[in-house]
Amino acid sequence: MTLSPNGSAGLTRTSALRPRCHCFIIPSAVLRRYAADASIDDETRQRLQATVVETERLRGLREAYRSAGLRDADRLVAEVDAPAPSQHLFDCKNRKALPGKAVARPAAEFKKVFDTTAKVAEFYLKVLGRNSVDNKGFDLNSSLHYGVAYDNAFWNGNQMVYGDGDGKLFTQMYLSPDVIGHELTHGVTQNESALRYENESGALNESLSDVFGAVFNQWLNHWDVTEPLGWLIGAGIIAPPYQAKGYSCLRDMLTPGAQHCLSPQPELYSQIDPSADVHENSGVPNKAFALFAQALGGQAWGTAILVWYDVATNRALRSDARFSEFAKLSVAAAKKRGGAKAQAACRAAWKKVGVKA
Amino acid sequence: MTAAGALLSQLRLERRGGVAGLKLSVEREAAALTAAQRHALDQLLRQADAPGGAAALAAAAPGADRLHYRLQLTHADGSQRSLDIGEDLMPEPLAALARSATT
Repeated sequence: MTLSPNGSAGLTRTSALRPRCHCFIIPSAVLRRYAADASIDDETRQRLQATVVETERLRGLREAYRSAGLRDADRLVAEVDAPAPSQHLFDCKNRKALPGKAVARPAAEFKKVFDTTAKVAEFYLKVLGRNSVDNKGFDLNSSLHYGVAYDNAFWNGNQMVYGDGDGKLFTQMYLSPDVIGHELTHGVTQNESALRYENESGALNESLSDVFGAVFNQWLNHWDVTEPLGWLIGAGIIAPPYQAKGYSCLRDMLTPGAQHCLSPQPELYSQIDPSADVHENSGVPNKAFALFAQALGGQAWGTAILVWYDVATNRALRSDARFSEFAKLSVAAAKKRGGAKAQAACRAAWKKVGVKA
Repeated sequence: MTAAGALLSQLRLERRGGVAGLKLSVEREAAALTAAQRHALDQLLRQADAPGGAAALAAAAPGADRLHYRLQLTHADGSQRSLDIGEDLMPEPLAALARSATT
């Protein structure tokens, strides 16, 4: 079943997935299924898996070239003509084949994901003027119940995927609105700067997802920048056993090294380990944004997020950008958006985390 | 014995990444591995030893916030071997072993 944003109790409009120029004769899902099929000999499975990897690589490359070549022209088209994104929900039924089975009668958890995803799309449209992840109304597909006790959510390049958690460490991964905003923002980054998922550019990629996920959550809950809950990432997915140990979130953008974080992060540029996971080093730009937004005051979905969005969509932001490059672009964007006061606040925020802007 | 031919002494498995960015690790003596885990390990090593196999294993998780695994094997003769595995090709018996680790 396909759901549209205006189908509240479900399902007032059905639309098929819009055709895209996918020229691969065998769908990736089929290749993946056979690559994992134990009844097929190892050599054949390895070849199939190599084909899956190459297909995904080519698909990503083609999309990146198309996006880079047509970005500005496409924006104009998007503003005039693109439809709002439709949503499609799938049930993996605890298997790992994507997208899973289309949902005919959505249960409560599917409705929750649908509603929150619709809100993320609304946030992007109303606050940032963006029509879905590609700014052309790309359909938003979500698969739930991925794997068994799967402790993760991810963006696979085409869609969002949510596990149920194991109930010990994490609960259902879609219970934090910021997590849904986080995953969808990976789609935005893929279509804009395509920040490489390693080193400082990878940390910036992760940070953008945290920033837009957190500000979406603030917007959803009408929290201003002084509300501490608004800076927590993954506050709704920590399972009771770990809540009892004092963990209240994955990350805290204001205090990345705090003890209540399940994944504490460095707060200063001098503390980062370049080889660390991209989710670890994102604490530095996360804190810079939180400090900037707090310095401006009011609501982070005003000037602060617009400045970060200007940078995220700036063609000058290279795919292998380092923190200092992002910082310089943000200071320039802050001046355009908010004048000298915003520019000074932005520069000061980066200085506090040890990044020269 | 492993597919590589050397007698396995110990295994260390590390899981990184995911939206949580958590690092979990677990160590097991080879003798403590279950039959399913040993079988999965042998299959992984066969895949890794095929041409281009190690790179394919490491790359098998496109997108963002995927889980990644690093397997470190120590053999009885003291030699070591590392494998990086994207979550799409991580056999469930070994993924479950990583899940048994605590933060």
